[in-house]
Amino acid sequence: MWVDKGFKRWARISVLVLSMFVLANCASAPENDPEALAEYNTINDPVEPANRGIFEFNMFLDRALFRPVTALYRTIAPETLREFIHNFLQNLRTPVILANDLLQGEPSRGGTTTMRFLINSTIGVVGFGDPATSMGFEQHDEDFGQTLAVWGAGEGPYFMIPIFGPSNPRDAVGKVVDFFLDPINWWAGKEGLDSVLWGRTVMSGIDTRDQLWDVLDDLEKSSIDFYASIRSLYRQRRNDEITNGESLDDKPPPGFSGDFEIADPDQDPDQDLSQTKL
Amino acid sequence: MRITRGAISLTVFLFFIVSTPGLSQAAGDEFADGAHQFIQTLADRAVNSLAGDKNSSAEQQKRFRKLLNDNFDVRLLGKWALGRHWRKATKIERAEYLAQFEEFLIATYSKRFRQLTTEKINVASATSRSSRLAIVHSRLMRESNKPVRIDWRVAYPRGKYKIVDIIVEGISMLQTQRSEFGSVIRQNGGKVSGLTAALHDKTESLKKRRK
Repeated sequence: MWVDKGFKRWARISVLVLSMFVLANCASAPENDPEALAEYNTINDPVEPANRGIFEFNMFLDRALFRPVTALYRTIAPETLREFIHNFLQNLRTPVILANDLLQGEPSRGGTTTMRFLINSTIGVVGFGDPATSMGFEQHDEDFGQTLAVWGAGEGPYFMIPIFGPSNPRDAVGKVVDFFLDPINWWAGKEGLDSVLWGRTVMSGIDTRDQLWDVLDDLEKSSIDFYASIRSLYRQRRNDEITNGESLDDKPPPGFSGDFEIADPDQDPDQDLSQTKL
Repeated sequence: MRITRGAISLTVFLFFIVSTPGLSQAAGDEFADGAHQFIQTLADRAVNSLAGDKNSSAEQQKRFRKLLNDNFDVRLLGKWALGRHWRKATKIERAEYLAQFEEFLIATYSKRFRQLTTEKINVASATSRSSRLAIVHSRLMRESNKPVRIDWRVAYPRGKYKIVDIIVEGISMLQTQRSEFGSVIRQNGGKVSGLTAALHDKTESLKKRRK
């Protein structure tokens, strides 16, 4: 394996420290109130206090490092250039997206991914442009976390990963599998080109932070519990990605029961509020 | 490579099947059509009524308050955002919370709605399974960026179309708020008044920022 030994040892130590921290900070399930217990189970964040700690750490890291670096990037690179770089990085993800399209049994989406790669790598000048979108091949993303979900795997308990942010066992496993699915990583690993791996990781990180610039700013300003907002957004976004945006039938929103009446709320003793889903 | 070639021909083949819209079942639905029309009108009107708004910030807030109350069921939104805690809240707590909730919505969303003046909403379709609730699908077209998928849940309380949720790229405003509000209430020992206070502080800080 090309992952070097120093990294392995470092990873092992941090996992150990982290698990001790997490175990010391478990939230206790509410025992008396069945509704509170149901809510606790849907939120499915058993190590919330530890997660909040890690979230604080990530926010600190963001303010101290990621945000300033991205701000610099935004000043140096004009929007068009940033768009080119984003397209280029996205084009590099083609093999992983295609593999997951096919693993999910979606050959038509796999076809779209392939067409995008062919068009954007040629007419789009090695992926910097995105003429494929205007030709009707719209961009979509897939990853192995989504594939696992399509295969029926549950998300498992929510947790916060240092540096990387919100996740769950399914998506974390997906991230690792995607890394090993990527032929660029095989190639760079075989040739010993660590700089390629690191360069791409750093650039993708900056690009992701740049893409989220307005969203995160807006959200932090208007949230009364930023951690809880992020947790809810992460879940909803992942569900939307897993179902490729088709999850939203005309299902009622959470709290609307099947035979929900739009009566005056005062007359309505809230019988429809017990089925809360977060 | 074999997979790739097969996938291309499959795509070409499937493209024709998929591109035939399967939405006709909803086309005849009067309620969905009405909801569709409602959102379309709102999108056009928001552009007109807020466009080039050079009025004072107080005047802008006033206009947005009217737009909000005309088109959204603020009371239902507030009630559902509170979830199970609504039932335990006292009458006074409910009233205080609802009043603060409206202020919070205005402080948070007036700016976002004003962005509609430079952007355009294309309403694509509406579906409804019952005569009470419809989903209107639309896309927010932006100048340089990718369009944003926005879906509107529309209900019909008291004989008028009202928005009861906005879903942006699969993220429901209502669901996010409920989750966030629930968390704040939990941290305040299950008290709705704790949430109301947090909403109040947030509203004030958002207002200050705007000045």
